[in-house]
Amino acid sequence: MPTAEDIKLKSETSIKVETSAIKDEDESMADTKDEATDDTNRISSLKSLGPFIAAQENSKNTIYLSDVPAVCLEKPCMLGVDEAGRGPVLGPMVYGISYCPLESKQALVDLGCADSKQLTEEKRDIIFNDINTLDYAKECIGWAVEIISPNVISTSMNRRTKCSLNEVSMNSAMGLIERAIEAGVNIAEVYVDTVGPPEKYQERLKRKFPKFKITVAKKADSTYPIVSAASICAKVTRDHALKVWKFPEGLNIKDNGFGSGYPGDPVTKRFLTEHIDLVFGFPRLVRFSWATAENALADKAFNMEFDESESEKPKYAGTKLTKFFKGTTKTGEIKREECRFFKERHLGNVTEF
Amino acid sequence: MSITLDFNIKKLNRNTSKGLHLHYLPAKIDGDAHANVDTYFNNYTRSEHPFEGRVSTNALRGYPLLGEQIGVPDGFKAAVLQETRQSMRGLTARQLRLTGTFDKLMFWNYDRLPSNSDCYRQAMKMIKVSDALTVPVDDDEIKRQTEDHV
Repeated sequence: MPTAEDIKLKSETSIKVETSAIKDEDESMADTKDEATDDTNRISSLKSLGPFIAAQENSKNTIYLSDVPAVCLEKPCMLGVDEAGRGPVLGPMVYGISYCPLESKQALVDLGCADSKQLTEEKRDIIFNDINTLDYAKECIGWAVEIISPNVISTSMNRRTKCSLNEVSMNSAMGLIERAIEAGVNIAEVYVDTVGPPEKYQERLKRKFPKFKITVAKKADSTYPIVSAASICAKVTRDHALKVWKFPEGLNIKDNGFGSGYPGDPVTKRFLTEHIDLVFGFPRLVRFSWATAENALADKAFNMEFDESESEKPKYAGTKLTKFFKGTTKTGEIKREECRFFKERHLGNVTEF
Repeated sequence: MSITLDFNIKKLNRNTSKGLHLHYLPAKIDGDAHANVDTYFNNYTRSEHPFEGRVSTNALRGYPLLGEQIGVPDGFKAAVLQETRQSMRGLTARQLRLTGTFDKLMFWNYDRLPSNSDCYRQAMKMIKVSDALTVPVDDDEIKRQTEDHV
């Protein structure tokens, strides 16, 4: 029996359980904990999704793995990967995976897993709930999501060596697949939905997971039911993450006060213009690295310039002979270069206090 | 033109544990206003960076920051002074008042671990140099040193 394969780990700290002895202990601890605080540690239905997300720190990434169905440990499985919330200027991006035995494909169809964009929000919620509550679904379908915090998206994209959104996405997808492998899922085939060019992505996944049959395709979401299931998990999680978002900044914004998050949405536009902090810009629900966000700040907030000294470093080209004649001005006054000791230490003379 | 520091020296020596929390940011901000530091910044300071426990993380306008706490150099006091009548600047005697003191500050680097090459730490080396240059030397010492060398 798969005892509660433990559930919640912050991806940033990524504590790996090294020995089986520690693992057993952890699991028994998790079991007792589960009973006490069942509502925020486990997602067992649609209703428990919101409280779980609300209990996490929203400036960091959160990974959640469902219990692994027993059949998935033995029978060869297919695994689907999809994302939600890539384009919006605010809120987390969510990556989702779902898996089930190759022979259980019918269960996915019965649940109604089809192109998630064709489904209404209500329908997606129902399917998500079914996956987690109906016996026939629980017995063969497992899933996992990573909620990638907008704070992490901004800071990754704004690093000195930029980490693009594609990079963030791929790392998340591969991380989730790895977690499924660690949990013992017997993966045989992997299906990935992609927005960008599939070839490169496919190649990378192949290198990382040489044993699996890997298919990366555009709109895989509507072609493969297992990807639809992953897509539904991701989308429902993203929607709920926005619904339960608490602003550490102390803002109190009413339900749906920030709109869909798409830069074209007038509600989102209004939210962006009305919640600018002169110094800090936006609350960290917003992805600062989006052009829409940057533009909004350029007009309304204080201008801010970061030290990026290495780009300004002059290239050394040797001392010029003419340098020795340059010091004197026309009036005969001698201008002295500041001593290197002070220059390198960013020290200068100040006469005004 | 003269400058008067208008405060009781005792205030400067008072226990600074309740002092100001200063942040040294790696950015130039073209503005002067009240800042919501607690809710928009302090709220997000974490000290669980994988490299070293002493390093904290945060972000400013989406730019990742790595920081550490640095104490005010030994033998120094740090104070924030404010001028009330700024319009009079440069014309008459100026008066500065003490608005707070601090004994440490948070030094933040943009996406780089704090190290000895940071400008702040570099600049503080001046203190050692000036110490060395200003130590009084008396005649006896000079005598002793020259004798040692002979």
